[in-house]
Amino acid sequence: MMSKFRSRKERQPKSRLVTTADGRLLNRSAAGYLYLLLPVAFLAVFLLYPTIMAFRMAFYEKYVFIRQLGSGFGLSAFKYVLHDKTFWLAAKNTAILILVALPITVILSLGCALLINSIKKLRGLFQSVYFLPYVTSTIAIGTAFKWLFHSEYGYLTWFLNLLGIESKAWLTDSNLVIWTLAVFCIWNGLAYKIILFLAGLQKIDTEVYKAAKMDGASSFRTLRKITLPLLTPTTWMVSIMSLIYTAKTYGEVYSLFGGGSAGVGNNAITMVYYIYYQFKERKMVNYAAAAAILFLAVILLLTAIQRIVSKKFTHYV
Amino acid sequence: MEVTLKNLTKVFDDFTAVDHVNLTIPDGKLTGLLGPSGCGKSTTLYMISGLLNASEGQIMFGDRDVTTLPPDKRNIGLVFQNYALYPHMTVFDNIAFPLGNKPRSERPKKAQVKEAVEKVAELVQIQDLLKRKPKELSGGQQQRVAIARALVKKPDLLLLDEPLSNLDARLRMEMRQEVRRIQLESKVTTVFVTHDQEEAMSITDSIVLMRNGVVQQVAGAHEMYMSPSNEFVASFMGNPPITIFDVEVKDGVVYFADGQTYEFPDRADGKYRLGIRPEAWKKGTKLGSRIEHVDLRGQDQVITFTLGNTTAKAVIDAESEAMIGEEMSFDLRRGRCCFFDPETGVRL
Amino acid sequence: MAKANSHEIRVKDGRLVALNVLKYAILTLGAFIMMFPFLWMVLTSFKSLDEAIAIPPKWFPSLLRWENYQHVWTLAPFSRYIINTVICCVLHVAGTVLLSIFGAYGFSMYEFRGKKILFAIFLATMMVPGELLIIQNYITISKLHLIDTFAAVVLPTFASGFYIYMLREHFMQMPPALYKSAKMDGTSNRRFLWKIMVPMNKNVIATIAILSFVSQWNAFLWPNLVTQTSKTQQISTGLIAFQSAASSNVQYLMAGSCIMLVPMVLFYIIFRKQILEGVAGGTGIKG
Repeated sequence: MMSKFRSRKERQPKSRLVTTADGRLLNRSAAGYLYLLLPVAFLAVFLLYPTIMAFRMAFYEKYVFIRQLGSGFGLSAFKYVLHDKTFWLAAKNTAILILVALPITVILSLGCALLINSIKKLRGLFQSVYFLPYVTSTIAIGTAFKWLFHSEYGYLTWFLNLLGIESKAWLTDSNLVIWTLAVFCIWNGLAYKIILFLAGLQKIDTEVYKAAKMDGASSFRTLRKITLPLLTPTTWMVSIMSLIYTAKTYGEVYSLFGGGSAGVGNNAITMVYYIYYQFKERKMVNYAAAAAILFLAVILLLTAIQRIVSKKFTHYV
Repeated sequence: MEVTLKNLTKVFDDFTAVDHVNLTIPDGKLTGLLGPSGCGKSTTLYMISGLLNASEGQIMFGDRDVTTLPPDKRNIGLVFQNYALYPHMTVFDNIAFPLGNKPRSERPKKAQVKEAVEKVAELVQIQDLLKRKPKELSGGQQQRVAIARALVKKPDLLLLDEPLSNLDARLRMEMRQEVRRIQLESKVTTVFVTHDQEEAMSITDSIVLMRNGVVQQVAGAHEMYMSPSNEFVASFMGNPPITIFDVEVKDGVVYFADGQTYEFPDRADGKYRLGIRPEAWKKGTKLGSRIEHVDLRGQDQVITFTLGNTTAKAVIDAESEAMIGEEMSFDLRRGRCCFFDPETGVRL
Repeated sequence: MAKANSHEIRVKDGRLVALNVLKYAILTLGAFIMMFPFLWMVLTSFKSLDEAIAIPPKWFPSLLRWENYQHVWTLAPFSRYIINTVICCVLHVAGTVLLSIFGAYGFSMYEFRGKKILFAIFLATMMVPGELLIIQNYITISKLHLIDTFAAVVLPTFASGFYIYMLREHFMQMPPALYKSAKMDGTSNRRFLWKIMVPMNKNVIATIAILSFVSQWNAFLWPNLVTQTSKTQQISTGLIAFQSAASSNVQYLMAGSCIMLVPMVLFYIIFRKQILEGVAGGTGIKG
């Protein structure tokens, strides 16, 4: 009755609520910015800005560490890095880890997960024990490995002697250090992958196994024809994640071979260690940034290739 | 192959799911395991399949004791409620899978596999779908694939665990007839688990009705409906359900709770539970009541009314329209009424 | 259907039993390999130097030398390290959880200009490796004169695109009717967040807290850059400093490592379920 005479001023407040296509209710309000203020600020300062700056720094021609001033624009940092033997050593070592240690950890962790998944009793216990290395510091456990690999007092030396095999200087021999590192990386990387595989296995519908049993499939055939094919999405996911993780190997090197250079003559150096080394030890910010960008490019390329390959081979997702 | 269950029992911790079941499943027939959820029908099925171990008793295939045999040694086809198709394989590979599981010496050649798969695909009418993946199929088609996979190894026994419950109403009717047709064509001994009495009545040769792990009655659909062995069977079968009255009989006359009477000349004196099927009522003059609800179904109408203090349903032809609030009088077809012992529920 | 039960007629299959025995044997061997470095570390921390480096090995110490730990405590200020680490862990957890909740709520319940672009930027930051960031972050922190403070250790770790993304997913999975009915009842957005959203998602939030606690306790690369004195050094970086003090006294080295490891192992035993489920669900990446 009043509405006819209501003046413009008295108009009801406009609703700020909007409904999305999938039926959720949202607020159209600037308060959204308020909630995002802190996250965005931190993200901008500590994630976005440093990313952009890394690209800038890589192209510095000159950098004075004490005054933290860079100047010039050019490719000399890249030129230096690409001519640096240590960089190529780091690349080679990282490649070895990716080509050797990575497949071994993936296969071992898949095997462990399959075994754990196939038993009934003590399953939780085994799962917990295999996962232990995940929660423990690489730095701390590395000291134990360092001593187990010790060429004189290490239990590995003693064990090999027991078998009649001559032990080597695992931590100092320039040809061996990378393999020692690989062993530690394999051991250290198992836990996480086992849990991911177990989660993947649990996603497979148990009825399918019952059906296979009724169809008379042996456990080996069930594994080959049912479990592994159905697990391929998980397997690819795990291998992509471990590719990135393995490429970033750093703590393992630090704990086995120590602070400054990575072992005698930097023989155990990895890509990330190289970046860190250029930055922390040599204060060459532009070299570190250039190496980081090259590293990032290679990682992105590898993940892209892996993705394409996995699309081709995963019939079922 | 005839299947015999002797004292078959399954105990979960302290709960007896199946309690000393004795049963013979006749060769070449379709037997329905029927009952409300939790009655032990699926447990019985899974014990026959071997996926579940029995706690007690024996399972005989013909004269072979298979109680301790692993499932793959029993030569059984099982169709799961949710089909359990292998999602990464094509329809063809799904169906062919059981054939590849045989030991190398017995494994059929590629051409034989192809022939067997195509034959069974034709039986269940999915010849055109062999190259597809399960997720590209409708529910009914997946169901057919699951049946084909179960049949391809020429099982001695086919088990179906609530196979139609995941389908919508229209498809369910269609697949119901298909299951029957496939069973008749393949002549395989089949056990079909369902909680739907209508489904069981419409396609089975005989029905096993279970409750709380105990078999209530084994009979053909017609016999089970017409002469139920106890009150539970009578109430479970039929829709709308039977109405049960507490009555007293004196000198061949049934006295309802409100004092109305109806003659049952041969009945001995005493207290009874009287079950009256909806179609046993007809328009008449004897038993009067006021109509509380009318549910017109087209060809007939379901009338709800109260007699004594029991709510009853009657199915009456729809020629003359019944109105809510009207008074109506009924006669009974005596042959469609059952008397039960008020203590034991057994039919007298 | 097939619940554990005591009474059943066993299906006989000899091959199955043999296979099972083999499985347990392999798993036990594997478990031993996974446990061995820990066991050796704990045992060695109680040995004398002679016992520790004896060849052939003396597996067990002749007596529990708790004085090793006493001595270790005099070599480096471990109490200080532990306190520092706990402070940083608590700060890191509080900051991460709070910022994740804010970010997730802002992105899931509000509609505003530029939301899509902003969210895309958040997602993109998940791809950036931490190694790229440390260079400029170190410069930023030193320009703020924060080197060798707790703030330096934790500030760059607060905003996590990943946790915001994950929590947003959970927030969006809440039934829309909840928010609609809260609006009908006149609940303010702030109250809805703290009284409905947060309590209803307490499991995910707890998982985020637990996993970020673990990762901060073990964090090494960044703390090693920005901590210089025992005033701020973390247990991980303190351990490195201590290792040069202990030199080749392996029993002390192992005692030091145990001081860092044992609390995490206990933490793991207590929160085993959340940690395992969190990692399996994609919440944690060892970094």
